[in-house]
Amino acid sequence: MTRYRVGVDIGGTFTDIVFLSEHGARLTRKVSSTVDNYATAIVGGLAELIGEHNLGAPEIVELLHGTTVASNAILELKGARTGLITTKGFRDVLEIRTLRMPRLYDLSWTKPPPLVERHLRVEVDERINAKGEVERPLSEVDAARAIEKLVGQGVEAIAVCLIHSYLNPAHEQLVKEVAARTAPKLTLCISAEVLPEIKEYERTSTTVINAYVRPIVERYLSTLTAELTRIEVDAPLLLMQSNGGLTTAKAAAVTPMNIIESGPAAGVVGVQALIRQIGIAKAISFDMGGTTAKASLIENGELSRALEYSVGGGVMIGSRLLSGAGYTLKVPAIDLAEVGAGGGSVIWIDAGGALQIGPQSAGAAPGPVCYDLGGALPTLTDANVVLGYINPGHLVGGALKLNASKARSVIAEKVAAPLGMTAEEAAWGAHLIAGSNMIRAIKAVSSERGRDPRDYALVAFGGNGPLFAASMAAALMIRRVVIPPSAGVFSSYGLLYSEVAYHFTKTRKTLLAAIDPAEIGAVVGELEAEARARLAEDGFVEDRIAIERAAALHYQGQSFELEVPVPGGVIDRAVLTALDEAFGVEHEKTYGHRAGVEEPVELVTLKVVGRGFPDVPRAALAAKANLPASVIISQPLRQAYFGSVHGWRDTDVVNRADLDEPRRGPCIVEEYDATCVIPPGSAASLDHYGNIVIDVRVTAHL
Amino acid sequence: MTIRRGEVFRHEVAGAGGWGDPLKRDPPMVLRDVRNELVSLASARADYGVVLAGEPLAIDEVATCALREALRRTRNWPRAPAISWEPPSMAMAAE
Repeated sequence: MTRYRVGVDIGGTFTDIVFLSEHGARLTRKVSSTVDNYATAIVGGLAELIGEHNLGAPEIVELLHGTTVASNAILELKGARTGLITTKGFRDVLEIRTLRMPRLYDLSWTKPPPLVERHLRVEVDERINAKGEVERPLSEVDAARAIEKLVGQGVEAIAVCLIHSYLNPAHEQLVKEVAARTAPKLTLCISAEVLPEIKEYERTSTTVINAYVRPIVERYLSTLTAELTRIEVDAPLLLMQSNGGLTTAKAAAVTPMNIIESGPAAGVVGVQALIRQIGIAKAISFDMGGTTAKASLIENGELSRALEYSVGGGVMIGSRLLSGAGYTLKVPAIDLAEVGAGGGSVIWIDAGGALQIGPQSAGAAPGPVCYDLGGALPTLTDANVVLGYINPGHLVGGALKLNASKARSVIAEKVAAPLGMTAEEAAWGAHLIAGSNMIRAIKAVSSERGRDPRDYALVAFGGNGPLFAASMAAALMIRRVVIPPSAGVFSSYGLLYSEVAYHFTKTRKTLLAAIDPAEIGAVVGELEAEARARLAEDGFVEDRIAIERAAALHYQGQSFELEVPVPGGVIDRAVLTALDEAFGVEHEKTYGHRAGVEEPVELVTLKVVGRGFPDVPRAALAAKANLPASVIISQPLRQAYFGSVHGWRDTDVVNRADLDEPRRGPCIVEEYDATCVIPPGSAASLDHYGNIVIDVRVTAHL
Repeated sequence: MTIRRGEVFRHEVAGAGGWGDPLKRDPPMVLRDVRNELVSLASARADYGVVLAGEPLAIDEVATCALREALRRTRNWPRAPAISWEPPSMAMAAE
């Protein structure tokens, strides 16, 4: 019996499945996502692969999952009917937010509706002050009245967020106890457990989001588990979190706020593993699927992280997730920028007669026109068919036949004719504009943060990443592009390289100079114990646990913190002095300056990350020998269009393995799950691990 | 102005002007504002001509129609007192 670990990643268009055997062999499958119940596509795809390769369900020893269920619930406002219990006078914190406009001069921006409407926000008469002392006690009667009122309004979940509860959770706990007696079936989240950190709005918003998506995620996970049991897969189910670490299904059901950006995280973790292996220190991860494209930066082998982000509020071109336009989550996440550009993105002409791409997507159904499933709007995939990049007979290994003449006529009619161009010119225009939109996402995580993209390698994946990567790299003057094996399902593959990770935080706002090291040591000790207990609950033994500690600090009076690592061992005065210095250095790095020694530094929040390393070995990335089976190239030469400079060119169509002998572009590599385009002038070869490495001919323009 | 410990400075500002004739605001939107305690029951009647009753609150359609008719007669305006961007025929239809 061969043991397999399985990664399953749901996207807006496709669900990707990867089986990785303990010997490094892999099986992959791409199936259309089933939007009404994502579990259907997952279980269907798993059953197909198990059946075709004659595996026994028990051979699956671990199931790792990235899902968009939680973020979709927020984006589509389809979460549970949720109530909020808050301190008297703080009823509108959720709606007032931080008084920030995400786009300074955009008068048409509308604040997203609060996830809890005003009449479902109930106040209780209590007060805990900024020192954690009770100023006005909360009566049980008042707590019961608030709960009863919300239950009467038919809520399914309640978030409780009382002022200064991060210092003294007694009142929130009282509400929880009363609810356990009077409304035991209700989903109840208290902020002291969800996010015991200072800042009213962020804490309220995060707690509300957790309550809002929890019933949805619980239902999804229980359906998925039941379906898996039905096909006799009983391996442990782990979910990807926004921070790039895994969590158990059980923990995800309690704090789903950690899995909101589950989908995009896995691919970045995969790139991190890949570049470690091939010995690159700096890379830009570029993931382009059917609906969106995402970019993230990896430096010195480390992921970039954001301490908070916002979800929803519309995909803005080239914005990082920090825009503040959507719903704020103060939960650590991989820092990435997203644009609404994917294979299914609709090509349209705006009121001024200019060509535009997305963010509207044709998704999996009806999909692009060439899918012949009833789609009527031209998409990027249709343009790529017209350009000869995509083989109409071949997508997903031929499982999806494309109608090339329909693609051509829709591009001709709806794009080329209004612009007075030929179909290929219009398709090329769409290709260029999509590329420049996605370049904005790459710039958002690189040049806009003081990093020069020319110093980085571009690692491209997702169904459409390898098709656009080389031409985008040329425009960014990036010289090296890496396309990993199974690029189209690489995000699922990234799941297989992740560890379990839990983050615990606690606010202790004190000037560093005034801190009692023993007291801080005790708080860190509690957080560590909490992390170890959680990991032990998941079955991790002591030597498979690693603990990292960090502190968020600021200069007294600042509103935003910077995080620095706290060394292991006993916390004494020397550690605090080192923290002071480390903060100054970080401040200089981030903002370009630091204050003098006379400026007092304040500790705000302490943080502990517990990592668990599963017993099942994280097999090394595939060697060349383990490349997935080649597809049969039906037509070794076809015409592809590369803009007015090159025009239509005879283009070799090859398998990945054929690149063992380096080739010059134009050349197209066809694979089961992706198509890689090597433009004229660039050269491609295969490295020891089966990655396609493109040596890009840098041009001044795209 | 010096604010001492224990004192509160409170400044209430007026809401912004509305858009269009309040008698033509969609009654479910008025109900929503009342439910969210942004508009009082009395104001819903007097300003918007919307009659709400019952528990949970619901729109009394018949009473709302009658009250809006009555308000239009009382104020004796042949049409909304603001510039209207709607075609005149629609604005006048109710009168």
